[in-house]
Amino acid sequence: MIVSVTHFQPLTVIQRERLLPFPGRVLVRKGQRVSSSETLAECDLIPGFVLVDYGRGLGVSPQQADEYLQVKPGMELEKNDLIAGPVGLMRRVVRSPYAGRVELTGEGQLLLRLRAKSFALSAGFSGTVIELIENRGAILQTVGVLVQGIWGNGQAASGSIVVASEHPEAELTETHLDQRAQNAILLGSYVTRRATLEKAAVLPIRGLVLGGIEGALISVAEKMPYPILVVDGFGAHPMNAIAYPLLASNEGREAFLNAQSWDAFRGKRPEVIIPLPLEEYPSPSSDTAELAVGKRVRICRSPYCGRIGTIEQLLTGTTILPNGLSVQAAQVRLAEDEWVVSPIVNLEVIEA
Amino acid sequence: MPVSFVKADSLLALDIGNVTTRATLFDVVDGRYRLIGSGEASSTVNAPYHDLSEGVHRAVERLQQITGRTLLDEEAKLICPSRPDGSGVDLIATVISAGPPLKAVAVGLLAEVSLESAKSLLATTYAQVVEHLYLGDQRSLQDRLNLLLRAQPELIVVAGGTEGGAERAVLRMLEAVGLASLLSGAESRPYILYVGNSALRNQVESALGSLGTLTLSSNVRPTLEVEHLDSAKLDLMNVCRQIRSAKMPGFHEIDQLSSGGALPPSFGWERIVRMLSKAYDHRKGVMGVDIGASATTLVIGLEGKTTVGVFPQYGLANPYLRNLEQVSLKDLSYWLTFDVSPEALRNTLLTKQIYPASLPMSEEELEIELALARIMLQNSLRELRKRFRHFGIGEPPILPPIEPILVAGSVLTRIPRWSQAAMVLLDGLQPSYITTLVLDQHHILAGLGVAAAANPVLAVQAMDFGTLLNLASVIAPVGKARPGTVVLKAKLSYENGREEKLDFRYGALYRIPLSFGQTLQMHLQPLHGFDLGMGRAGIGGRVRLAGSALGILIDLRGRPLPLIREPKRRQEWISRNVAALEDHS
Repeated sequence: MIVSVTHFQPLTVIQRERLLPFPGRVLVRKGQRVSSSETLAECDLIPGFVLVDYGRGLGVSPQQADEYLQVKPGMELEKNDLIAGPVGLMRRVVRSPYAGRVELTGEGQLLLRLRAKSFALSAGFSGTVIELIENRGAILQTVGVLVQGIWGNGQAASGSIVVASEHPEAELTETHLDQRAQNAILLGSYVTRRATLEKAAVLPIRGLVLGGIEGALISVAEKMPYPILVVDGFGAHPMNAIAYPLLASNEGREAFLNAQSWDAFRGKRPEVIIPLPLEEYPSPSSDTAELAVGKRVRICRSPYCGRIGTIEQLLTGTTILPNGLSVQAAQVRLAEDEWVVSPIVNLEVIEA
Repeated sequence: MPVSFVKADSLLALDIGNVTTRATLFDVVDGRYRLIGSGEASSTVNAPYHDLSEGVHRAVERLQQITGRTLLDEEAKLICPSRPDGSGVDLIATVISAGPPLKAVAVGLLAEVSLESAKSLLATTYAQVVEHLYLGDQRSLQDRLNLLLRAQPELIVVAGGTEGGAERAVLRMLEAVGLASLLSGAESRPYILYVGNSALRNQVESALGSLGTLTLSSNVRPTLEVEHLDSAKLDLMNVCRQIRSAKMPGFHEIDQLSSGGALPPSFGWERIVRMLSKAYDHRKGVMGVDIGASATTLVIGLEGKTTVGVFPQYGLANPYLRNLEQVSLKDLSYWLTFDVSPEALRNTLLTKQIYPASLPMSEEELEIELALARIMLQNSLRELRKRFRHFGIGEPPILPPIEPILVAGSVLTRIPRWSQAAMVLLDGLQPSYITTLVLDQHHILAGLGVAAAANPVLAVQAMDFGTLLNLASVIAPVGKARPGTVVLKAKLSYENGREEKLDFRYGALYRIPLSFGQTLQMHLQPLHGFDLGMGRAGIGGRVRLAGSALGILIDLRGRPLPLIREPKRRQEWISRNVAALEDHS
């Protein structure tokens, strides 16, 4: 059975699409090396449109109004530029209420496309542009650490990694957030207190990578001005024993925390990327793997949620779970003397 | 010599979901259609594959191994039509529920009339209404335009204007739609389905036709009182196919191979329910229920007319809508027999949302999933009732007489004990009067519904031959009495001549075992004005009931079910109900 892979990789080739939210202009070329802060592409965000009723403004019929129109579609206007007129003894005119581009005109009305805020797409992490995506962005490649999570609050940022929890299993609380945490991507075990997230916002920090977060804090986490990534599960859930030491050993390095939502259809996962200064690239790892004996796996459901083990046996036929469900299952060794039978749909292959 | 209606066409039914792709083969055996075998594989709609045909290929390969039939050619392509050497199939019917729901905007004139009809139309397919516009919403053209551009819908359904009714107002609403389409750019231009006043078709065509994404359909609201969705539903389905085809790799190939195209499961369900509603007792409706991770679908048919509701927001875990975050923890814990903190419950729901295909490993987590199924059924029924007022459920909400209730969804068909599935359906749907619960164990009904267009005999015969599981007959008279009062008397006459007289008391749930192959005649006499749906309240009569997995369930707990606020008493009540169904097992 082929399943998708979760990466906790100390060294791998990472290729990522970096895309604008809307069509725009790509500013880099294929083969170019970029730094994390370099702009790859830019676009205008969705513009607002304003309808200007110059017929009414001139006090004439829509048909007559068109005779007094002074602009054409495609023209760029500044605020207060003349749109139509003058008309009559009072020399009535209609001026543009905002700066923007004339989109459409006719029958006494004009549609003005307002100047939208522009959006600059930064590289996020240092690497090489290996492919351009017309009007949308580029594919970047780097080599380094890759840690993928299960939940993200939809934001992204770059910064240096700082270990904030006292201990891999100790809850991260607001008391751990001191000057060291400022402008850093913090590595913590888990958070169950709202005050922790709020103090992190005040400091401010660049981002937060956690093993777990209390489900009740999800709506709070979504409103925080910094990215939050959850690696293992919901609740008082310390980070797994592979991801935590891997990230902690890279303390001080520049990381890209992309806490995008997990979208299985589009293949996007929340993740941390830490580029490493290597000249030779290792072979890239696959995003899928055969579920087989010897594979390292993580269990995604309670009571073993987040636990990592190794498949010892893929059980033939179906297996009856203690709750009575009849499932395809595997025997997983969690520790030296701890085995568990898990439905195979509850297993994710871990590449580490 | 008997005349055979069998055309001897074999059928490959494909069911492509977010998690699993199923391939099921039907063919003629001894002059009748039968299920030959079924193969499953993980779906490959999602990344990193991004091509649903790989999952189809694997499921069909598995089916080949199981049946020994050759269905794929040397280039691993499906063989259709069949070849003289017996390889391949004559017909392929495909239903697909994979991928995110379509993002749609509903546009109408009056909020309670045409806008509601546009929303009702969208509720017949796997779509999420992200915005709506109507004449009285106090928005200017500029506001409507900006709202449409921000919403970035894949589809805009425009209703409005009865036949011979409003024209200028409809054109005014179309102005914003047309401008938004024009300004969206070809890459993100939404499809437009016009289902308004047909007198405007030419004007709509000339205004929006050049954009290349317009479909004109019949008016869904020809008069203020009448809603007509049937013809527009077909056009909506075709628009959805176009959208999927453009965005889902592999869809186009499967769509081309499939008879009638690759269709949403709701389409197949609707056709099956319509067929059965013509065939069964005309005084009763037929209900189809499909409870899955992505959506809950309900279909009710009465004398050939159907009402469909597809509710992605009430799927058991739709990761695209994050629907479980909206589930009331209080409602959910109502159906649990153990105490659990709201925090633990929320964490369980969030995990399910992230891993929709995962399965509960403990008794408690299984109970949580079954409680969730009850809630999603209740919510879907409530929504169907709200949206389709002609549906015929009274106040308080009681299902009209229905026979049978057909049910699909792994949460119920792959459950450890049939009594658990029955409890979810009794609590979630609260069926009334006399009905039968039937499980679609092999997930074939939607596919058979699609195939029925080309071969209705196949669909009917395939359902007959052991492919469905009769779960239980349900007798649930409607009325009110003091708990413990005898409200139903029954005389049971078994095939072996044994007779038994039984009294049933209000407030309790009973089970009378009746195995497959057995039948039983029951003479039922409701007391205290209870209504069995036999003409009017208090009227009884004879019914002949066939054996099933659980036999006969007599549900006298009340309609609607009582609200028990005290947790311990409620947990005992739930445990007592479960025990009643498991007694004699």
